[in-house]
Order: sequence, then structure tokens, then C-alpha cells
Amino acid sequence: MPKRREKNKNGKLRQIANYLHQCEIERKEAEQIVKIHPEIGIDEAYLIQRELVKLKLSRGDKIIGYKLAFTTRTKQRSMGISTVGFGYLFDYMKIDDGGELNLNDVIHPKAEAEIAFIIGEDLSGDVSPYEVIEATKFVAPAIEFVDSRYKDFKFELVDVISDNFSASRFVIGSDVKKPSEVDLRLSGVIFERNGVVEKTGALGAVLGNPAIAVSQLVKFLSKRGEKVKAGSIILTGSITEAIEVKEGDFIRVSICGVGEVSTYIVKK
Amino acid sequence: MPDYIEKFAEELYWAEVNLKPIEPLTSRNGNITIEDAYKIQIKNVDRKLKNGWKIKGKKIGITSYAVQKMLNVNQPDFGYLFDTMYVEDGGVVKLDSLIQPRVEGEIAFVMEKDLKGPGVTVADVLKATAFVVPSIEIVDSRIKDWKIRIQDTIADNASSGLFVLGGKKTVVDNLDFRCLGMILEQNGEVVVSGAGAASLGNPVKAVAWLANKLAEFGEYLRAGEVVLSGALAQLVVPKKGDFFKVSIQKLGSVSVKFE
Repeated sequence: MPKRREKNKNGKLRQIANYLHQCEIERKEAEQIVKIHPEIGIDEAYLIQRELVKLKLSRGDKIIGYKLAFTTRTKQRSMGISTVGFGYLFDYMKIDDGGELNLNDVIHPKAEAEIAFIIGEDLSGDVSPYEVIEATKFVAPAIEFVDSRYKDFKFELVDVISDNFSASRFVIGSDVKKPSEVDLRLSGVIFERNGVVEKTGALGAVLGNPAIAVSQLVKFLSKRGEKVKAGSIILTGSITEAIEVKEGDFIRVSICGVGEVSTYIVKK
Repeated sequence: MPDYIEKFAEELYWAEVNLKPIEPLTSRNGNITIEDAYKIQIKNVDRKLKNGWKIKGKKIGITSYAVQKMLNVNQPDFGYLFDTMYVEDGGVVKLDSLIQPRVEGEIAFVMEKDLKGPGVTVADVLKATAFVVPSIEIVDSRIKDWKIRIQDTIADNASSGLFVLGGKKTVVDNLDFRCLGMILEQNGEVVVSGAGAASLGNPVKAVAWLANKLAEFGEYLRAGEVVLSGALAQLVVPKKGDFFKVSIQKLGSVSVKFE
């Protein structure tokens, strides 16, 4: 009997993953998982995420990196955890620098300003932030468009983990720098919409230094028997609050000492 | 001069002395203008000067797009900094010496030459600045629960409280003020961050605005004065025992403790 229950459980998790995947493809809002299945915990939520990843892989989508969440100590403490959360980035999510986000491809996106780490060597095990810097080929300014599948962007921890942390689209800037040439703690970040400064921040907003967040990811993945492969793109977490976007907007993120990245918001 | 100017100035003066906040001026008198509000502010500045306080400089407020939108205005404001408001770098602030303090990280300009508007440009500001230092501004409001409109905060000396100046002097040559990043740590955790562009797009522009605004009152920035050029991130509420450190790219850091 226990075996059968286990099978049923996996079936349930797969079903939820399938539901979230369909919502993403059909661009329709999902009901919160915690409301339908209040019994699901954090570990199971990561299993749902894994099922969702399998569905995407079976469609031919390719994993090209990771996105990080819970990248402040305040946030981690408030949730009783001491590590970052993460989702997977797929090839179809990539938009070129200076390119367009088509609102018809997404549900209700928000833009976030981040710094991306492009990894040069495989990373696994108990790595320190300085080893992350050594293994990083370059860093680049990035815009992440998060698009929670849940109605009105309302979700709880289990919901957002299951939903691959709202991963949707992202843009990596063509201005890149070696990480050792960048002040990863104090470089200023300017987030503009149509030339108006909407938000500002500094790279240290991410756990004091985004390399710390990457080292937490590597450790987390190692526990699951996974590693960060050379060539992976890592979006290290939002530096400022997210901004809402609408048709006609021009979004730009400038990271001082690194460069700029921009996207046009269109509907077609 | 409307008689409420005298009355509100008196109320604000005693609210500050007794640490007892008052109801918003604007909720009691809908006609109060920005000009009236500056008249109230100046009345109390004169009164403090008569008490022997010394002006150390000025502060600029309402410099971010977000706060301007929140208060439904499209201009910053300013207030006076007195010697009594100065706190040493690494110093201790008693929480019960203030009403409802909030902590901000800013760039402070120290003037080398007098700067008189109108017509002051960013180039004039850069030429007249001796150096800049990192600073912590501890704002406070004599208006109950911070329920302020722009007139309330102007009348209340732009909600100024205390200020802390870092001890590393940096000259303005080659500094890209727009870009300088700032992190504010509370007990070692980064709680907010920002960049120079948060203040009117560029803090140098904010200082130029101030010089030109002061000219409307026959006032100007004097050599040696300190100018706090506007918050670079959201305000943080301090609690007893908190240790705050502000680090600004290329400018160094400054800290303060609350007891």
C-alpha cells in the first residue's frame, strides 16, 4: 500500500506541474496551489518544479541557467531558511539586448534589474564566493521579466517554487566585464523606464555581494546531485523592487562600471 | 501675513522641544501655501538663531521621483542644519531624543565658495564644492505619524532631525555622481540600497536646485556649509540597539548607533 500511495503522490505532483505548464503556454492565470493542496510543503514544491522542468525538456526546451530568489538576509530570515531559492532558465526565455518583449507571449510581466554571472568552469560542492568569482567568465547587466502564473501575482512560498520562481523572459546586456574588475558590493544600479529613473540600488543589495548568492546556489544544487555547468547563465536576484511594464515602454538597466542593457515592450 | 503662520510656528517649535507631535497643519488649514510653509520654517530658524544655535548647512528633501509622486508634487524642498543636530561618525543617538526617526544614506557636499542663485548650473556647483563625504541623515517629523503633505514638511524644517558625516574627504574630480552606489546596513544586513541617480537624477543637480531656490529668499550657500543632497534609498525605521552603516562607492562609510 505505501508504494501505491507514493505513486499517487507523484501523480498528484505531476498533475500540478502539468496544470502550471498549461497555464504558461495558454497564458492564463492559475489558481494558487496552496489553496487547492494545503498539505504540500517546500520539498514537494521543488519536486513539482522538477516535474515542470521535465515537461519543458520533453518539449525540446533547453536549460541554459538559473535564476535566484530570496537573495536578502531579511527575506531568508523571515522564511526561516538560510539559502537562496532558484528556478531554471530555458533557451526560449532569452531576449537579445536591445530586443523586444512581446506582451502577447506572457501573462502580466514585471521587470527586475539584476547582474548576471556567466560561468566559465563547472561549479559544484562547497564553494566559497571567491571561488565563484574565479570560475566566472564575465558578468553583465540583466533585465529579468518575471511573470508569475498566479492570479494577480499573489502567491505563497510553495506556489512560487512550484511555478519555477515566476521565470519567464530575460535579457543579458552586451556590455560585459570580468568580475574581478567590478565593485560587486557598491556599484550603483539605475533602473529607467522611458528615460525616467524609476528605481536605484547597489549590487550589495543581493546578500552583500551577488557572488555570495551564487555560492549558495551551487551548494543547494550539490545537495540535489546537480552542478552548475560551464556556460550557465545565473540571474543573481533583483537589486531593486520590480516595476510594471506596458506596451510602448523602453526599459533600461545601467550598472555602473559594467554597462547597460535595454528592451522595448511591444504587443504584436 | 496670515495669523496662522505665527501660530503654527509656535506649535512646531514646542512640538520639537517637548517631543510631542502635532496634527498636520494641512488637515487643519487647507489654504496654507508652500510660500506660507517656508515663512513658518524661517520663523523657527530665526528663533533658534536667537537661542544661540548655529547654521551648519542645509538639507534637500523630496528628491526622488517616487516620493514626489507620493506627495503629489514636482519639486523638492529644503531645511536648515544646525550645530545642535550634528552627530559624530560612530556616535550614539538616544532614541528618546527624537519623536519618530528614520534613517537615510546620502552624499554630503561641503562648499568651498559661496554659491548664489539664480542661474546656478551643475558646473557652478562642482566648481564651488570643496569635497564630498558619506552621510547618514536621521529625519524626524513633528507631525503625528508622518502624515505629511509638502507644506507640513517644509514648515517643519523639511523634517530634519540629526546628521552624521563620514570622515573621508573626496574631491569631486572624475566622480560620476549619478552612478555611485550606496548600501545601508542595519546590524550588518543590507536593508536598502540606491545610487546617486535617486536624487533628482543626479545629486549635483539637487544642489544646483537648492542654490537657485535659496535665491528666492535672498539666501545662498556659504563657504564651509554642508549640503545633504537627498536620500538615495527608502527610509529605515531604527530600533533600540541598532547599528547603522552607510557605505557609498568611492566615498567610504559612516555609522551611527541607537540606544
